[in-house]
Amino acid sequence: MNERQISKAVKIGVKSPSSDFTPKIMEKIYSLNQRTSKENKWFFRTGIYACWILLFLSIFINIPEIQFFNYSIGFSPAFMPILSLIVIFFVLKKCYQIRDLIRQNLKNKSFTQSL
Amino acid sequence: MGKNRKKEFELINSIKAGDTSEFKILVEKYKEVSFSLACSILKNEQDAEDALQESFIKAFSGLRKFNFKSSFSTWLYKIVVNTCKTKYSHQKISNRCVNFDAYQRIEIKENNTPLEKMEVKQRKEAVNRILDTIKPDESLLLRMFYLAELSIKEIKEITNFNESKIKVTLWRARKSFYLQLQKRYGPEITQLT
Repeated sequence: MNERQISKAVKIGVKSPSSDFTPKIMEKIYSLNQRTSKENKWFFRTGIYACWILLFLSIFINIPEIQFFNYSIGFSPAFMPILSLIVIFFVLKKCYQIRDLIRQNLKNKSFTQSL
Repeated sequence: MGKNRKKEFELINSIKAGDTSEFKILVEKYKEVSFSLACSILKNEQDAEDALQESFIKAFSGLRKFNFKSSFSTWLYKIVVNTCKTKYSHQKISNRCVNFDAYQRIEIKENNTPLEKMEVKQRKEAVNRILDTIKPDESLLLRMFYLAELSIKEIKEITNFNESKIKVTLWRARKSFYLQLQKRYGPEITQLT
């Protein structure tokens, strides 16, 4: 029995999964996408609330001087507002990602039809 | 780059850009070979299907990380093999070793030329019985090499076996396959194909 015959024989034995295999996979992918979208919305809301609180607090709170071994670290009054601006920057970045995701979902109008 | 590969890369880019429904094309294209590979390891169709579902979901979730350095098939088969191996080691699979004698013999009418007269479905069953009987590694490599038409280099990338191990296992697999065919169907085995 030569290589070609073994190859042909092995190819004959190709197995197929159940007929509803592809729809099942696509359904799972669809629910996975939905879940990701929900998680992102939750993150977005929490982030926005956190930013507001941080901005509000940063006006009134100054971090006291910290004694670290023999060194003392003093924080400028601008430290907290700058920190809150950095957080806001990351939240906005996430917002852009969510916007992209929403655009992707709009492209996928045909997706539910394919199920 | 081949035309097909280029088309496939365009398809993957389109999925990455958000056209999720296109993933269906990839599932349809690779499900049969992937399922055969999964069966080689797990030796049980239900477990293989579960593992394959998990693999496709993993592939979809990780598609953003796919960097086009290898072909999509190699990348996907690696996910399938790893998922099946994890499942194989964690789960107690009752039908792990398939006893060849447990299968009912296929009746071959005396007037027919043996195997040549067999229906395609029967031939398929006969081949799968033999592939289920031989060792998982041997059956996996046979399917990778002849069914998925992967090169030794690609098999090495998927299985992490060294080249000489792949060649030796393939040689043993061919021998086992041939011997099982001969044992079962006698000297007319070449007519199977």
